[in-house]
Amino acid sequence: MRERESHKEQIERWAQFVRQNPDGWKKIHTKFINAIFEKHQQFINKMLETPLGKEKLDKLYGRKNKAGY
Amino acid sequence: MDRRIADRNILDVFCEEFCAIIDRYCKYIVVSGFVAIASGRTRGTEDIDIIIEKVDIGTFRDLFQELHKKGFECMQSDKAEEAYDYLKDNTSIRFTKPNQPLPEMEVKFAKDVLDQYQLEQRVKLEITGLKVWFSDINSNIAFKEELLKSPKDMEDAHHLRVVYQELIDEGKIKVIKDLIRRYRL
Repeated sequence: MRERESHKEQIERWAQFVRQNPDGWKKIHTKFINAIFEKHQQFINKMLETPLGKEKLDKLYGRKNKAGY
Repeated sequence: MDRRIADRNILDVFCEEFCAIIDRYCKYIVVSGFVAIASGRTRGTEDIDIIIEKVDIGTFRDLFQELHKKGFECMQSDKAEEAYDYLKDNTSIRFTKPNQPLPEMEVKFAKDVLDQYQLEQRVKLEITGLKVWFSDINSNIAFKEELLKSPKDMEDAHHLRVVYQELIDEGKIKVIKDLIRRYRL
């Protein structure tokens, strides 16, 4: 419960920062978002190097159109 | 606000490229999690949700072909007719870039008065620095607080309430929540 409250406070602090720094928040945010996808792409590349990697990825992401990657 | 291109993240670029194509064929809105993320919320997402107005198969075929030409692959099918059947059944279709299963764009047809209302009320949000149409903030908050309700959605709503406090209209939020209870619950 206390953890939830503290998380809520963190959300509020950051939201206030966004509001008060309309030209400053985006750089920090961009690094954060890009890092998530860069990490994920590393995982995809590693999976594609493994024998059943492509099949696993198709299953993981529910791809029915096998003509794709 | 002049946002430099270097400040645009992977989701921003993906969303703007996709929406620029959709915009040539029909009205659309970006809804749900990406509204909060584009407005500064620091969390990840796998997809960007978009609602488009219902179009006929001819228009959809042209749209689908252009998306394909510009490097967006449909996860369900590479045939426009099959993808259109999903949309007609109120099932979403998903698009990704080749060899990149994420992020994905999840597309749905507007299915009821609530979606239609959101399409009519669509807005551009300056703080996002993005040239895309979003569903309005009050609708987003209402959906997150009344329909979706997960801890993540409640936190998104809280973030939006703080960032856009001058746009919050509790009367409007209540009306939309009433509509949600009537049409979706």
